[in-house]
Amino acid sequence: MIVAVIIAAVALLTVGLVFAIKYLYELRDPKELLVVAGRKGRGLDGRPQGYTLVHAERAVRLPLLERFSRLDLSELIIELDVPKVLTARCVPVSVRGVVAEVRLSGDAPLANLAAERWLTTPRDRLATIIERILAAEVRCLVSMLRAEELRDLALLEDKLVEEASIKLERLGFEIATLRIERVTPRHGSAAPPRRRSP
Amino acid sequence: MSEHALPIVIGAVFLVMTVIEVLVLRALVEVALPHELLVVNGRRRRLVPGGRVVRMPFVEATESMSLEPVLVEARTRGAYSQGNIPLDVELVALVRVNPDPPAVTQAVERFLGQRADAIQQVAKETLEGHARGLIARYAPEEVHQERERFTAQLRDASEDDFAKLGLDLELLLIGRVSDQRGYLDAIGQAEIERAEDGGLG
Repeated sequence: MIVAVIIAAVALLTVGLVFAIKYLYELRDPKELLVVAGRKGRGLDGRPQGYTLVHAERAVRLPLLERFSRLDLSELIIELDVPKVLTARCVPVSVRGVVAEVRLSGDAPLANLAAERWLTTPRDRLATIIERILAAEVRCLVSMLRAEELRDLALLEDKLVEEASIKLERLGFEIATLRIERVTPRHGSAAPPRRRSP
Repeated sequence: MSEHALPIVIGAVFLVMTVIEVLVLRALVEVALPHELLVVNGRRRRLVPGGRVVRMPFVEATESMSLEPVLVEARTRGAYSQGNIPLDVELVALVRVNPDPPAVTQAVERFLGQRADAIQQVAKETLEGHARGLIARYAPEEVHQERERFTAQLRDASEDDFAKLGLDLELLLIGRVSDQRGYLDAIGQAEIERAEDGGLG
């Protein structure tokens, strides 16, 4: 009888131990960041904060006193057309095929900004927000240029990345790539600026 | 009691004690994610953005509030600009509960327990109201061409209102600027004709 009890207890303990280790060890995927709420950290300005970002491959959980979450750092692909954009002199053009890869940054201080804002935000809502920001930035950029200045798409892309990055970085995002396919006039005169073939 | 039952009793006591410890810890400790604000009500209200708090069971209760920015898409329809030209101006903004004191207290009093729609609605009305007042001081093409000046002035004008609400205007951009009277189209058309005559285009 006692042997059976001991065997049962050992078996139970082993199973319990396996589950405990599985529960206590949190593994990080390279495309995500572990956020440990309840573990005291220090922000970049030296102020104490109630969470820590874990860049290591794994972390051990303190049950009940800490909550683990993951910040998804994979790219969001944003595709948009911006119709009827006015140049500095109010000439209407359309900016077609703007494709951007934007992600939440995994590096401080941007990662802190991201974790304090978007930790549980669904990906489609993030995509909508970035899309609205990029569309407004396209309008803002084109409003400072003349029609003939829209021909150099590479320059336009650089300027757009520069301007949009200022806004997006404050929210914890970074732009990985950005391409503009073409800018087409909305009237019959000017030749459509197109990307030069490489 | 059989002596064989002793390990079982010890095991059962250990199990019960563990369960009690878990329940006590659960009642005492609350952890907020970095994008949450924990509001501890009871004796003295405490506001903790992202982190762990210990609360007195039965005496204190906690509620949480999201610190996620809210997308606000505002639009002034037919706002009169200089020369009495009605202008439609689209605004894109991100508004967030300001987690820093003293603003956070205002936000909690105003928005605790409400959905993001409430913040969205108030921010939309605030921005539209101030934008309407500001457009009156601009020519239509100025709103379009001087977006940064316009947004800076709109920020200044609405700053006090957002501060009273405990909200932070994290982003403000102008989207499409248009008018029903064809004023901006006429400027564009004149430029196209000028460019064609001068061989630009």
